[in-house]
Amino acid sequence: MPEHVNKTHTPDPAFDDTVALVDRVAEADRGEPDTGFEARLIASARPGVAGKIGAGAHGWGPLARSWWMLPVAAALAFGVFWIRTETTPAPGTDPSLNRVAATMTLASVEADLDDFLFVDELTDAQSVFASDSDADGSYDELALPSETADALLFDLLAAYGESL
Amino acid sequence: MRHEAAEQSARPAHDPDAVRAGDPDPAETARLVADAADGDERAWEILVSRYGRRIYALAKSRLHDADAAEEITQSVFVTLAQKLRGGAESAYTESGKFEPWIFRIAMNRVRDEGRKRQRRRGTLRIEPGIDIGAAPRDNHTDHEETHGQLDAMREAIQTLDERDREIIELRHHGSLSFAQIADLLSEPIGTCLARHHRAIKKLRERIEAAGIGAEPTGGTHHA
Repeated sequence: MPEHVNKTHTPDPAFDDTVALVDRVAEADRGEPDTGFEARLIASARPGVAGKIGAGAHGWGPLARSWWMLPVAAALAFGVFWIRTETTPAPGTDPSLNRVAATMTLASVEADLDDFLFVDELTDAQSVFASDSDADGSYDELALPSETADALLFDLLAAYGESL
Repeated sequence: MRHEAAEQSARPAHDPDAVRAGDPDPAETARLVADAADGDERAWEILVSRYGRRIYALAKSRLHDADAAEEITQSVFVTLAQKLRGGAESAYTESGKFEPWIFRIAMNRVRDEGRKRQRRRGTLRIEPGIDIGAAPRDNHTDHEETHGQLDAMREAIQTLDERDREIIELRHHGSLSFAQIADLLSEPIGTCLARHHRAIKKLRERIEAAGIGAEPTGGTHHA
């Protein structure tokens, strides 16, 4: 019979103390917003009403604030394009140079629009966790050198018990 | 909402399962979400009260910015409201995993904001080994000592690597169960357990190195 089957789990007060302290930090953070926090969230969005970010929001796209930004954005894009067209040196007669100039102008306009509209958000469907691909999450990678994967799992399940 | 708040406040402050134990089963959550989608304002208020502060705490721990954390929380609920209205290809479809789903949205928002801040200000990285916590003072009140412990632990959490921070913040700030975390991260539950276990040990080492220890809890094991 493997050794760990007969092993009695030894309580770890230091582990418990640290977990309790982290919980206190989290509880303090959850208690930080004022009593009007929930009311502001409820007022900002309801399933039956189009929601908007509250006053002072930033970084989530000016288009999300008001529809009238669309013509402003279009006017800005036209103005940027016109200015760049006027200030860009005339391309040579070579058609390939014309195409390069047009591509560069379009790319610069797109970049300006991106900066203005902040459209580089990731969609919810995209997975953004684990940006590095080194870990495959196997038990053996996380096991201590002296422990088998089964022994580690036994210790962890005994430690966390019913809190899973 | 008030009943849940009263129930939670009656529990010991350090009870790690105070919020998790109050979470209803997936069937009840699904019913609540469906009611909110039908326009039930009471159901919507319950959803906000149940998840608003948890999402806020998770965002705040990441960004250290209360205003940004509140904006992100608002953004998550705006998205939720849009998806519950339906009619779009990305409308929410009930699969019994509402909590992992909403916290995945929250983590995406937090990560987006973090990337934008990095682009605007350059990389802000707290390297392991920085001086965590203030030097012990001779004359300090119990409140100040507790506040110092909390700040030291916050700083220690920032020194963890990305994966360890994620598991700590989802487990403690987000109050998710390990099963929900495993579902959210698409990892085996044992991996999540092991990573959390390792992260807690690292935090312990770092706050002890700073000369700040947690208050004894009587030796009862976390369960």
